[in-house]
Amino acid sequence: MGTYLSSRWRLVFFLELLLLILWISAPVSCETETATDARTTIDEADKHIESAFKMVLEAEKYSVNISHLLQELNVAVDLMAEAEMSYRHGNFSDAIQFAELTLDRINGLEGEALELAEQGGLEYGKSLSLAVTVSTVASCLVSILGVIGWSFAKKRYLRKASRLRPGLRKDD
Amino acid sequence: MISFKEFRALYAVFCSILLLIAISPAVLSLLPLPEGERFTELWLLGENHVAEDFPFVVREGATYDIFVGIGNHMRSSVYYTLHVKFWNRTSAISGQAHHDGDLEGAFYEYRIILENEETWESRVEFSFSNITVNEGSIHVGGVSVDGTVFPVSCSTDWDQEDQGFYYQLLMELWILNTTSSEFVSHNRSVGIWLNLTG
Repeated sequence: MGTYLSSRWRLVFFLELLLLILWISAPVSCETETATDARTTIDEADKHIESAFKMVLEAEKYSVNISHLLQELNVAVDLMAEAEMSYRHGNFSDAIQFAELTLDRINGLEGEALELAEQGGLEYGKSLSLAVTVSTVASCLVSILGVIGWSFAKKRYLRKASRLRPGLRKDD
Repeated sequence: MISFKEFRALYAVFCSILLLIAISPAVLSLLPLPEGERFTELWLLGENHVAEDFPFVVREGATYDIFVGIGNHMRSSVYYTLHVKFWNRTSAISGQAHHDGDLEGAFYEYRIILENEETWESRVEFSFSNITVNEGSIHVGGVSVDGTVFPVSCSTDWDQEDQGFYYQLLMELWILNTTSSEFVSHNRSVGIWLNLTG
């Protein structure tokens, strides 16, 4: 009977100990999870901002007006700074909230930036082919007119020269 | 009257100039124009928006104003992060000497994307809280920027030589390296020394 009771009490003691460990570790693991969640959301928002920014740079290369897009992007990066600061100071729920707000703001901007970059690329291609065509046509015209013009200019020169100095040849 | 040879040479020069003008649209589109120096301006101004009257002797609870600005002359848009650091003299000296992109002491940040030749400026209103004084040392527990208090933990000892408890408020500029996708130190910083004896 005594052995039965002592083994029963031992079981109760171990169960209570297990419950105590679970109770203590639960908030810790929850907090770690929140920190991980915050980092993941921040990193995701960061990735989207960077992607949109790279598209903006691509569009800028083709001299596209990007001011409006940068204005929108600046609102997003401002929220991103709030998210990073909240994370650094341990306010993980605020960090998640700001990172999600950033994702909301950035939503659509990436597409818009990509569209601008593509549009810029197309316009650049068009202007480049126009410039090459204009240059080719103009240089051909200059070459042809130069040859034709030379025969006229030479005749004119020789006529004028022979009037001034009779018997002059072009070798003189 | 000029000789025939001279006339021929003159005609050739005239035609060459016309040919150069004709090919210029294609050349200008294909060859990049020479660029000037790429750099970023970073400035700090006092409360009267001039480079003087910076706060120096400060005390708990009082509010101080400075202006910080960035000018982009990098020939393209740049994504900047301006880290605001608060540290004691020892950390300031070692941190600035190494300049290894450490974020020690950083408690606040601004993020800005600027177009080429665009400038940005912001008024920074700051104050100090949770200050505890022990024998020969002082500890700052909170720095407020634009009304929001941020927890910091920074102690300094009494400086016998300069008679004060010295701290530095430093603004360090970082830029996004689009190749490595990481923010890297731009090796530019501005800051003010503060004597927290008030």
